[in-house]
Amino acid sequence: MRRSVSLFIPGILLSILLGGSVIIMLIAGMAAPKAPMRAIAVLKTIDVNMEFWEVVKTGMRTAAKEFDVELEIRGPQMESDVQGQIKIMEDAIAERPKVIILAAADFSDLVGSVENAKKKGIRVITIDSGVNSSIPETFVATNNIEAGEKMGVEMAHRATEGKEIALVNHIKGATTAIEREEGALRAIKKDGRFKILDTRYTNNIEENAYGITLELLETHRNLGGIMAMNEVSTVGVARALRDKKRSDVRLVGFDNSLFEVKLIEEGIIDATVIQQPFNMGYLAVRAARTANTGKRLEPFIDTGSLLITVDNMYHPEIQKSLFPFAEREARQ
Amino acid sequence: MAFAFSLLSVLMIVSTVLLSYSLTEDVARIGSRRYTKQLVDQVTANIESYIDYMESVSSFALANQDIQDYIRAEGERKQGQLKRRAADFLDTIVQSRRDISLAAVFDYKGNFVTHAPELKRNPFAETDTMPWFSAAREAEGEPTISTPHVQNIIKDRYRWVISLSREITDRTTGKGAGILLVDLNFNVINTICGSVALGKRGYLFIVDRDGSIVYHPQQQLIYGGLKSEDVQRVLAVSGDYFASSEDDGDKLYSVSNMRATGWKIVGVNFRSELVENREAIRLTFSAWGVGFFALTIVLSIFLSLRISRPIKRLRKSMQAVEMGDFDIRVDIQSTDEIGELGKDFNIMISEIRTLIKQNNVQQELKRKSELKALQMQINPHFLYNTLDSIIWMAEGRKEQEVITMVSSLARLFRLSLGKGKEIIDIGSEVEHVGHYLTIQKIRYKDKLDYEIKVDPDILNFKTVKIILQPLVENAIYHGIKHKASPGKITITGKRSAHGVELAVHDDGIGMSRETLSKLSAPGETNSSGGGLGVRNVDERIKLYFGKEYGLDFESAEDKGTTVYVRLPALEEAEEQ
Repeated sequence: MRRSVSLFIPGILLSILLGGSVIIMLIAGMAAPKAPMRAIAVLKTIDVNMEFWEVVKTGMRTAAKEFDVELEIRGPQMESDVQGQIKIMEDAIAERPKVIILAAADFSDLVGSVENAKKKGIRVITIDSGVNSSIPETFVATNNIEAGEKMGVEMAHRATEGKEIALVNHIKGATTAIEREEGALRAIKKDGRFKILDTRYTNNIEENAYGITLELLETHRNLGGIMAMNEVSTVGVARALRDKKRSDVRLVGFDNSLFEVKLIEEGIIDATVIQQPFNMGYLAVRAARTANTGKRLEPFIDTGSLLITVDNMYHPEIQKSLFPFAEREARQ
Repeated sequence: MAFAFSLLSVLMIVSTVLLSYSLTEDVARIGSRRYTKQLVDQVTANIESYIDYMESVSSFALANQDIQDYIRAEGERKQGQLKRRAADFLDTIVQSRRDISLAAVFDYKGNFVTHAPELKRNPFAETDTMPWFSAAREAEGEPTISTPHVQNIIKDRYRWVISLSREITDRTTGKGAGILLVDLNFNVINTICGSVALGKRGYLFIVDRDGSIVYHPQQQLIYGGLKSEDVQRVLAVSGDYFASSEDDGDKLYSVSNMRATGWKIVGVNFRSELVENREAIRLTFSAWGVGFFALTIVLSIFLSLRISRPIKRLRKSMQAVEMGDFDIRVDIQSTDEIGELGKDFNIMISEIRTLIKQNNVQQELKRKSELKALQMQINPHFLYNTLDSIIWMAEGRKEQEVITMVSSLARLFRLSLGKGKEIIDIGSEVEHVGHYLTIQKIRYKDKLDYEIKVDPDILNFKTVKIILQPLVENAIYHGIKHKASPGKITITGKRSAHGVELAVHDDGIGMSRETLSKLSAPGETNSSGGGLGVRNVDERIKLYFGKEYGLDFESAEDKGTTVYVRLPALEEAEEQ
């Protein structure tokens, strides 16, 4: 009996010690500091001259700071370097971040990498351009159909009734090209007052857009408007219209550059629909953070688009999207 | 004990640690709020200094002769030297400060001059549609500050700027003649605001007096409706500080007003980040807490051991004493109460030990004395002499004397036995000695005479038995026997001041001083049996009644001896 008492008391003392420590730790809230989540973004390009991607990066960094994400941004120098991007993806997967944010350079070729990431337990989020797979948690991008529709509505509003409307698109089969065209055509058809010409493709070369425009002006006397579906096409078409002094032909373009801004001021471009790359980057990182907590995400997150005209381009709400950086000289 | 100590200490420590923690956090929170306020004020002051500079530059330009000359010039003169001089002046403004991207003058007739001749007007930008232009015209000479905007008045140049514009008055006519424009790179504000760190997530934004966002690190998110800022509250708030609970966490807003522009500069802190090293503080406090716990418990154990261990040892010793071991000693070194207790315990044990030893010695002494008394009861010499006398008397047919002697002998022995009791009445003792004297009288005839004069009041007091007989025996054999003439023995008894006093007096030869002192000295063995008997009487009285009682001798040679027996006046004897 005595022996058991002599063990009993140290036992009680020990429990008091532990109990006290636990109380203190509980009340003082010993929640261990949350380690930042590690994520790697693999973009289409890290070329600092690509304004769109620079703004995406800004948005990403803003969100990374706000949501405490340890983010690393990588990508090939050239947007067309699909193999380069696959290599970068594989390296990123080997480092086992929690989440990879991918702007796929190719709809099909990156599927393998996305599957590899899943095998390693890495969550994947696609932005801007998706992959042909259901693995990614979500796709953060501009709703291109809706953006196209905005172009179509604006064109229908501006062009003279009964005229012919031409579409200058970038790459046949590209998702963005298909979707924007779908939206644009839907709006024009809905209006019903115009004749729609066959879509022409520039293969993303400005000179092709210029040539196509010259050809259109030659062959279609009744041409009332052109819808150019990306930045390269828009600038090419605009230059041709300016050179031919055909201010009677309405032009609704897509995307944003200082040169486009200047062409809008000049009245060559009537309107352009711009994406919101800052929002895209921000929302992608925020989605990555959410995905890491295991919550289900909507399969598609729309980052929005804005219609820019000469009348609204200097409005406070528009300026920041149209001129995302403090200084940049326009090209002649 | 250790348990109670620890519980108490834990309670104290928990409350102390928590209190200090919350105090520390409060202090840190207040400190960080003050820090935020300072930062925001600093930013405000920085931006204000730019605006102030622009304002003073504009005043300077308004008064400048070259500008006046240019404004007033007409036709051809406007393009020549006057323009160049105006441009030179504007250039000094731009050169003075890197952050100024444009200084220009637009007159109301559509002419303009900038700080650099290579800058061309944007042909598609109308001055009349420019907010800075119309605002300055309306302000009639007062400086106006625009919100940040993209300046597109210069061909191929689109820069984010804050424009200061002011109408230039022609001093000859007193009428407004043109507008002065000074553009400040908005990058300045971006840099100032962006460089301010308010925790990891905190940020800074600026609203103008209408509530439009002038600067916000996430401006696009706000325009896109992905984020909102409680601008109305910022405008409405009277103080410089308010707290707000939003989806992304509790925020604290520090607001600072900018005088020149009416802008409000707002620092936003996340409450969770206010205490910068919150985790470190928590960890430190928890560590302290746990450390104190450990210390407390060690101390409690140490203290309670210090107290309880000696007590346990004391208890163990007491148990040993209980079992009869009186040789034990507790060894407690401490100087406190427990140590005292240990010392007292040791003293007590040694006292008990002494008492026991004493008791043992006394018991042994008693046993010896009783044995002696026993021997006296049946003194074979006396018996033999008496019986011899009886035989002689019987032969002489002295029947009456034989009867007297035998009956006295019988009574003597009966009283000697005394029912086995050691303590008897003085009366019985006197009776006993009486029988003895009767026998001796018969033997010694005329040579011995005796008298017993005992106060009847004392007969009921107690005495050790057989004390008078040895004294009388002694008186006969050592006093009267050696005397030529007949001797007399007188036995008296009376109350004395301290009890009862019996006395045996003989008028024999007496004792020399030397013999007397020998008799009085205790423990001294005497070869002649008589002394032994007397001393035994003394010892027995002392044993039973205490040292203050016993025998006293008074003797003078040839005069006789008196032995006083001092006894307590006891009615009841406590037989041990």
